Amino acid sequence: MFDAFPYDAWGPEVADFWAWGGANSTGTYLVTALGLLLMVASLVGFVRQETGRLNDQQARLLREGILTHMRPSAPTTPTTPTSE
Amino acid sequence: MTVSLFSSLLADTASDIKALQDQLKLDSQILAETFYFWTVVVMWLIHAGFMAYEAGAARRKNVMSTAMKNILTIAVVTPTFYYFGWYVYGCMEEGWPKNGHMSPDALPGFCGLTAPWSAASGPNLQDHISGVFFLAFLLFSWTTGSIMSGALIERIRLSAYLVLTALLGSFVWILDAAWGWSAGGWLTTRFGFHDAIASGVVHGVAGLFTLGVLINLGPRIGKYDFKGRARTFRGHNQHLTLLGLMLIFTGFYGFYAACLVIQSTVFPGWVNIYLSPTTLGAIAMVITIGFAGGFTGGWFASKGDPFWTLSGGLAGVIAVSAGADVYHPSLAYLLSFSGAIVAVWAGKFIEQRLRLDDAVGAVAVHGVCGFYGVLLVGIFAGGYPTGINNIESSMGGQLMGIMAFIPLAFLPGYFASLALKKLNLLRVPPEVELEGLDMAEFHQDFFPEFASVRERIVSPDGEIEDAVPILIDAYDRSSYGKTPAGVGAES
Repeated sequence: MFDAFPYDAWGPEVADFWAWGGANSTGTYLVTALGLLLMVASLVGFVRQETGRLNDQQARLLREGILTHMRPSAPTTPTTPTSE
Repeated sequence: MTVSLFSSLLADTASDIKALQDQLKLDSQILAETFYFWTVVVMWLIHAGFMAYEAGAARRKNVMSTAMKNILTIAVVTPTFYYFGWYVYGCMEEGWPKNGHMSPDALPGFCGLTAPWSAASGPNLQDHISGVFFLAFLLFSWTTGSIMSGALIERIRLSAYLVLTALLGSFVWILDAAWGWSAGGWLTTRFGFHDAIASGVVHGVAGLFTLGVLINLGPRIGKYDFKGRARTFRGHNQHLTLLGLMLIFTGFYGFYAACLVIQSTVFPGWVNIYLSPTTLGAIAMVITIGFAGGFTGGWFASKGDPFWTLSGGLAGVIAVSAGADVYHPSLAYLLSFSGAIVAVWAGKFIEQRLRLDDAVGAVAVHGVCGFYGVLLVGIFAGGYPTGINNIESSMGGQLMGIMAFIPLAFLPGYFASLALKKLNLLRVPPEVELEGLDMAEFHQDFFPEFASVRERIVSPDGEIEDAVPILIDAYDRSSYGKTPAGVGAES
């Protein structure tokens, strides 16, 4: 069955395409570098984004009083359709 | 004529045998590939479990921020482990930064295969193993992060946790794995260090790293009264916590299986991570009876506390993991029972004496029992030949591993969290902690159809009390905000 299917012949071509030119090639180095950049940028982004959120919320809580926000809340009233 | 015919037949037969051998090799590789793929699938349950476990243990106001830590562990540790963690494992078996791949004891060529630009790290039709082997280790890395995650809930910044988990999951634990959890690691080849299913290298190290972080992070507001006695926060859903633990246990079978190596054309049977013979049945027996012993020990040591009974199961298994390929099931039953007792005692000691607020007992269950398990191998499996050099396991070798791992685990956790603390990036602002992290992070309550009741807290005497005045009092007594908390709409 395998004789009728040129798996071996196709293999290297497919591998080269998938690997952007193969191992240790310029293309692979390039995507690796871009991936590393995204990895570092996302970590910095997590820190910066959260810092902004926390600072904003802290400022609001100090302005409005913490106890206001620690009181029990009522459930959100669902919007029920009225029958006509 | 006869000779010629015979030669022709022989050539045809040799050709057929070669084709069969090639096919057998391919089938063997694909079988191994399939096996590891499914261990990875099963190990995902560990992370689903940790998420449920910790979210259930969190108060309602922190449920999503707690769950999100577990989800983003995957987002962060996967690339960091791919880009440098795997290389650490492949190339630092002989220590750091020594060239491990140059050592005669190290696996030949393995280092070069672990770089992100190598042929083994990308699509490669000739390599059925490297990808799934990497994935199994990646799932172990997530596990180290998840172990730490639960201890820090309800007051650590999500981003601080992510930075710390990248360090733990992609450098700290994998460096100790290179040293003591690989066939070519210096602890293995020279000292016979034996930690077959990662009691120390995964659980112990993650627990100790967590301890370093907890020291800098501090307890949740209101955790301790002015006398230093511990209060107990009530998780919003203990059923979810227990379900999470059951999912973790299920995932552990995948974890255990992934710690073995199988490829029939290379090895005559199953081998452990050190390439010493064992069987899948042996470790499956130990893990199952380990749960039984652990649940039993946890139940009796905690006087029937549900949380510690299930955590005892985890602790019991961790205590027998290091020798799971060697222990008789009866021995595993006894040792796991003792491991759960150790975990319960250690948990109370850490909470009440050290006054460290470990929200889920991770340091006790994973850290203490992880190293306890490593020690047990020195006592009960001394003399067992470990690794490609057949060095006998011994108490000395186990202690050598522990002495290497303690600073390796604790110091990075302590100093990295200290640096984040100095930069004011470790902990959420106290006002945000009081209100709940979900409002700051996501601007919503995640149970919108349910009325909230006043938060409750369990006093050191066991009384259930209204938490709000206690938390506000703790906030006012501390050096937090310049404006007293009582000054607000209700004062």
